[in-house]
Amino acid sequence: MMSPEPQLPSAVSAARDRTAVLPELVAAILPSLAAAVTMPAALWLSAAAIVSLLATALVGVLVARRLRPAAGSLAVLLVAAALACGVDLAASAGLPSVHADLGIYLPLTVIVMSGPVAAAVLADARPQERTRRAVLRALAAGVAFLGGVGLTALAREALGAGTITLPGVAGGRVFRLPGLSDAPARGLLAPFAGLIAAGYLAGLAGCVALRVARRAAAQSMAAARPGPPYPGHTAAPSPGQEAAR
Amino acid sequence: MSWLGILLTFSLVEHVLFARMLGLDPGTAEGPDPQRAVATGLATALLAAASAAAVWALRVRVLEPLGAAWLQTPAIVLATAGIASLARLVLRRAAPRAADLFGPVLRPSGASVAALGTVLVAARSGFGIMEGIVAGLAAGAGLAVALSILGGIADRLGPGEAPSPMSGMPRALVSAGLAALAFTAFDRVFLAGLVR
Amino acid sequence: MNPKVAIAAAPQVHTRIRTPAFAWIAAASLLPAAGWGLLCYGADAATVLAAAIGSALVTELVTAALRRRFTLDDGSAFLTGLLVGLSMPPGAPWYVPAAAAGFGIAVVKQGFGGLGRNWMNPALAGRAFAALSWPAAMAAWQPTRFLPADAVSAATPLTAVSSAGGSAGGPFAALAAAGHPFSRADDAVISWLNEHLMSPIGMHAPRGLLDLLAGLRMGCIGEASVLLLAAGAAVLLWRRIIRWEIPAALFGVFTLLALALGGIPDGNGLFRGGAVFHLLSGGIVLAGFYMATDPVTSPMTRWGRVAFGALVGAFAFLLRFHGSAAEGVGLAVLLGNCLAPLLDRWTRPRRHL
Repeated sequence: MMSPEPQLPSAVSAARDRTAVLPELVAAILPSLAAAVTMPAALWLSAAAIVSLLATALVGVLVARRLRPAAGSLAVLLVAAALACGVDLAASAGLPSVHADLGIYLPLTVIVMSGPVAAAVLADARPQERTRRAVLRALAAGVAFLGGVGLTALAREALGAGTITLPGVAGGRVFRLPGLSDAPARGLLAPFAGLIAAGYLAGLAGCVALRVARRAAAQSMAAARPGPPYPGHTAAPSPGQEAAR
Repeated sequence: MSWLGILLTFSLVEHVLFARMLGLDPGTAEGPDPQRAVATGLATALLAAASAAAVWALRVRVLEPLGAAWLQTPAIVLATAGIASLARLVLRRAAPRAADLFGPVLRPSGASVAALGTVLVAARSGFGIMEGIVAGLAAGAGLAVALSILGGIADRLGPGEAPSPMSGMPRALVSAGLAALAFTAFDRVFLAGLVR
Repeated sequence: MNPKVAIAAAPQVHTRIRTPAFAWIAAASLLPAAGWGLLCYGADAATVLAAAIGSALVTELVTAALRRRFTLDDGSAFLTGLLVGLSMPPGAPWYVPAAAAGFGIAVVKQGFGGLGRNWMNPALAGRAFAALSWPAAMAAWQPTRFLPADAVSAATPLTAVSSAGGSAGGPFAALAAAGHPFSRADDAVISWLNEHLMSPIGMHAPRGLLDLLAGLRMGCIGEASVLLLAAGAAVLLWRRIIRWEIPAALFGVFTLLALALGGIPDGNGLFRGGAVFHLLSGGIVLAGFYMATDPVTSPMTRWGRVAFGALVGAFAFLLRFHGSAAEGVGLAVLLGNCLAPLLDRWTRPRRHL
């Protein structure tokens, strides 16, 4: 390709900005994948994650620009710790089986997911519409968490236990998959399968990021191309195009 | 559980990375060099051990007498974060090069989450102070070994054929998963066989 | 530019240059052992081998097509499928070897860029995955054609010894005491040997020795006949397809440890372990000659290979004597694969400028 790379216009840098948090997000989702072996577990973990994301994003909006960065991070951490305590107590009181299944991963998810988005909010330099951007970021991360963890849990439970458990108040309904439930691949419930699944999820996220960046680059190149100086003008071919022909 | 049992459990059987999936960062995932791998493991070990000791003191001397054992979880989080921040401050003043090496562990990162997770498990299992310290040190040692292995693998894989979506962190995660598959050799029966 | 040959400047530590014929030669050297397995177990073994090889070939075809390549002609997929099939018990249902081979090719090999770029042995990784996923199916032993008819309830020699507990005379004595069936050929040959050769020099060959050597015992499809496996390995060593350092170090360390420390659980003390039994039983010969020696997943330097073999032998000893599965050698090699890059780095010759 002979055409020069365009100087980073705002569209590409905005796209890179949106996707830059992806590796951190994947690393933050990783611990929760260890406990995501059934659908109910995945859904409860996602709920905890979304609560943590929204709460810390809002706290980040409140303290950004008002407190020093270190104090802001401390505030976020305090809120996250309180949330972890609350979520843990609520689970042990109201959903003891879920609490027993998830173990340390319930409070851990709350703490870990309080990191990436809150940091981005605290570093956000533009004061206009900060709340809207923060909430959107938190929701997007929550959806990504739900998608990643939910999909992994679905696959692991279906292939690894031969069942699909839909959550419900009284233990949920368990569907047994024909054929698979007789001889499920139990190895998929083990942690190594979670790590491999995380790798492929991260690859998928990378695919998405690549596509977003490419589309932004294409848009910016289309916008940068100059229009004709007067109607009806056809540009002379450049030397590069002449050589390629 | 005996010292050897705790040591082997936290470093091999319930490995902090290969079984609990804690301890990976985007940065370290793409192949730490061996010095950094060992430094990360050492820092995690010390952080986890110190936090375990502090948490035990908090739990036994403060929370339980006050009947506030339910405050255990936030106490653990704040204690671990507090010790990490303190250590970072001290290191930055006293030994800047060490601060550079150990820094990533003392910020909110995968390795500090590993320390946090270990302390949570130790506290929930009701470990005493020495048991918690041994657990923390074992977890850190296990993480050092794991990161060294992953670093070696990343070195061996080289820069890769072409940048694909799978290059970098995704491939490192799949490698970690396969190493975890190898580490399933160390399981409870193995532990029982050794720690008779 | 031939995609199968990568050229880089010295030191070529990261380059793996592989000629396509190697895999086919290795597969050919496994054919005697595979044939013996088919002879012993018949149609069941044929199903397992077909499922493993078929799945490996199909997975390789699909994953290579995704990268716009065709790689079936280099024989490595066939070899992986064959190795997976040979390390399966004959009674395993078809989906177990198929899934194992598919996992090995798709995740362990192609996920890293195909031939020469993987760092873990695909066949053993697939086998480990299958052992974790379907533990019961991986213990589906079947009687061979050559054992007495009442051998259905018996297990492989290794599992019989581990469940029988200790015996003062070592593992062979434990086998006999547990009523493990020996073949008629074994009875005849061993008694002849003892009468004419061993007694004059004051030694005694235990019953069951020929069974283990010649493969007249139950086990995985390809691991039984140590003689045929060793013959195939001799061909590979002669053609320099595999290097001698790894098997030598592996078997050496394993034998030494089994001899020195293997007798302790039985109460026999140091240097009384049943090393010969443990060397000939289980899949250690198959893994030691064919899987641990894979040049792609083992160190490149000579001392690295020696260290690798020693480590894998030590792990194999640990896992066999203390591990949960009676068969720990596969996981031992996988652990060695994890450490191989580090061994390479530590034994790399330093450039003196």
